[in-house]
Amino acid sequence: MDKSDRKIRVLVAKPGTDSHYRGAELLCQILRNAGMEVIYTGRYQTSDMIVNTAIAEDVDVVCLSSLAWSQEKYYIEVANMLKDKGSDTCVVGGGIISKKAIPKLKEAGVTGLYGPGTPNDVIIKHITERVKKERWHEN
Amino acid sequence: MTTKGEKKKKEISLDRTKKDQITKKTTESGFELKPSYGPRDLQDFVYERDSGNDGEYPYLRGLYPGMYRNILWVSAQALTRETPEKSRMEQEVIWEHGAATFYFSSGDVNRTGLDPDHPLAKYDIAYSPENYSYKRMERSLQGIKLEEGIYTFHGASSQQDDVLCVAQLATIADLWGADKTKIRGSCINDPIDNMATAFSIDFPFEIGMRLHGDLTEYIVREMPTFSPFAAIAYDLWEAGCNSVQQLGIILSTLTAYHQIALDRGIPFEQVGRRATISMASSMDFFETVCRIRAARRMWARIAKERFGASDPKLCRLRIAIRTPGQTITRQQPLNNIARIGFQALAAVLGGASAVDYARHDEAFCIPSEESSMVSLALNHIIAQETGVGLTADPLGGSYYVEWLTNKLEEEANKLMKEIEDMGGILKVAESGWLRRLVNSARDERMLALEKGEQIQVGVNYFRLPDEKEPEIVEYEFDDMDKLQADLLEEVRQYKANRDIQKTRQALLTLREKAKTKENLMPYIVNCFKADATRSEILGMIREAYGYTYDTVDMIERPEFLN
Repeated sequence: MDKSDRKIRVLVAKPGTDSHYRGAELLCQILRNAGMEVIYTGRYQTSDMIVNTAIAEDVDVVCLSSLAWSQEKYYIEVANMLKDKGSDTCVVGGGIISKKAIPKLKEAGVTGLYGPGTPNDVIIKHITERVKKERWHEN
Repeated sequence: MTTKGEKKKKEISLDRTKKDQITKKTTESGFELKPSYGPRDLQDFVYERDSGNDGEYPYLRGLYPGMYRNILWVSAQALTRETPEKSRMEQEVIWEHGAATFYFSSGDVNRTGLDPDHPLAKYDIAYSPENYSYKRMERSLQGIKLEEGIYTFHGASSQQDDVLCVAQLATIADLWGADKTKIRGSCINDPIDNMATAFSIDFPFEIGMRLHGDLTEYIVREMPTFSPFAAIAYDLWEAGCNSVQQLGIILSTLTAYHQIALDRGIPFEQVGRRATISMASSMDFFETVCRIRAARRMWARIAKERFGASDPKLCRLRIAIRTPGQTITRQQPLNNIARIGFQALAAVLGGASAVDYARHDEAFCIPSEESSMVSLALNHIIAQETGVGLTADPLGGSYYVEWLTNKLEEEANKLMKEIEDMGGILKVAESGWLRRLVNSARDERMLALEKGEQIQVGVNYFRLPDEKEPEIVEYEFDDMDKLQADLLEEVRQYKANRDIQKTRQALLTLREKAKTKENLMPYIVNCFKADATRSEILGMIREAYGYTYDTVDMIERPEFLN
């Protein structure tokens, strides 16, 4: 496939019982409008469910969205489970994220973490750069 | 001569033409405004018919003569902490600072209808009181004379949560020997909102509507000083709806709920005298003021013309206003104090019956004690320092305010008619039309923000570099790993040590009754008394309707119920 035609495949996922779905649904639209292929899990996902879908769909990046404080545990768990399964899928996260959790999340390989008020192009640029570098190994 | 001026102009090269203008030229509902309004804009306005004095039909100028001069609005704050005891302690702090109600705000696990030992709940538990059994709620009410409090169940937009919360309160009242007829408070109990904003769409609508009717009937019969429902437009605003959409949907909803009560044989007087809606204020100051005024007048007319209310007192609509979390920015968070202040002021100038304040740190964490105190102080500043409450409806009679109030009512009536023509609000909720309307409103709002047509200071207007953003002290939870482990152990013990035959009997009876037309509330109360949990109760009702036991389809029915 011609490099320029290749589309980034994204899984937008909502772990746990958090019901705030609007951020996730809007993110799907933003990323689709940016030319990415987007799959949305819907709400109420466990880490297992998210990881299984990510692998089955061979996505380049998993975007985790939650406004609940459990995000720290879920985001790290999903990143670790993907690594354990030998996947190089990138993991990024959004929501209202505790400042204390940010270093721990980054250490586990979960990036983004910008929070409310982030311009769309910042999100798109971050995802594109990470995927091209870490997953597609482009320079 | 002119050289001096020209030189000066060159030195100050800042182009102010753009920054010195108001960016958005229309109101929240998209009305193009004229530069000013005058008597010609109110040619059809007849004071006696369209306004009336404060405390008179159609209540445009407020529900009571003199309004806040005699009774201040109720000040409330949403509140939740890690345990029932801690929530109660926090509650006492804000009572001491002038909040009036006992606010129960359920967490995600409760709202979704799961018990803490559900596999999906494991990381989400213990951030809020987790009233899976009535005993948990009882712990936060210790030492209170139930008849003295005002209880607010704002099931975070989950109607089944309201049903279970009221059933738990009724259970406690029965067991304590309290007089249920004297317990005051309110709940939302609005399944149409669940469908419109999809906050808990996972719970079947047909069950939601049945429980809505059952709860209404139960409250009217057993707890007559409690409000059986409050149609909620707050979520609609948060979802993107403008004033016209909120008014059209919320008054259609309120009308439908009163009709349902009537169809169940409850006279209009018994629910109509407590008619309540809950709305958000917004950053559009005058649309907020006028939306509140318009809602009161629209309902008064509906109560009289459609429901034939003979006593004007039955045409009074109480309006609770919450300042919306969605306007709270993470950028320059202290600006939010100003936002909350303007929004609350608009609520008061519109004549709201209750104002519930957001906190300026909501984009960082659950509110700290400090931010709660700031919001309560905002309430007191408006009430005690500004003097705006000294005379009823101080903006009434302004050409612009009356024109905008009329315009909102007129446009909202068109939407109500459109909904009616499609078969009514229940139909459009079920068909998905309502959800699509709300979703496209959401997309429009986001697009306007993204394009900079809608300004948010600090976000898309004069944004600071991240490193210049001030630090906010986030609320610190207690040791969460320990709290979660302790809670799981408590649930295990509670389920192991109950009289399981008694629990089983109560739950199976509930499932049988759910297949009939009988009111389920007394059976739900019996289940709580027999130590059943929330998800067991919901599971039985779901099964009676042919759904799976578990709301999220992950676990089987517990063995003791086989």
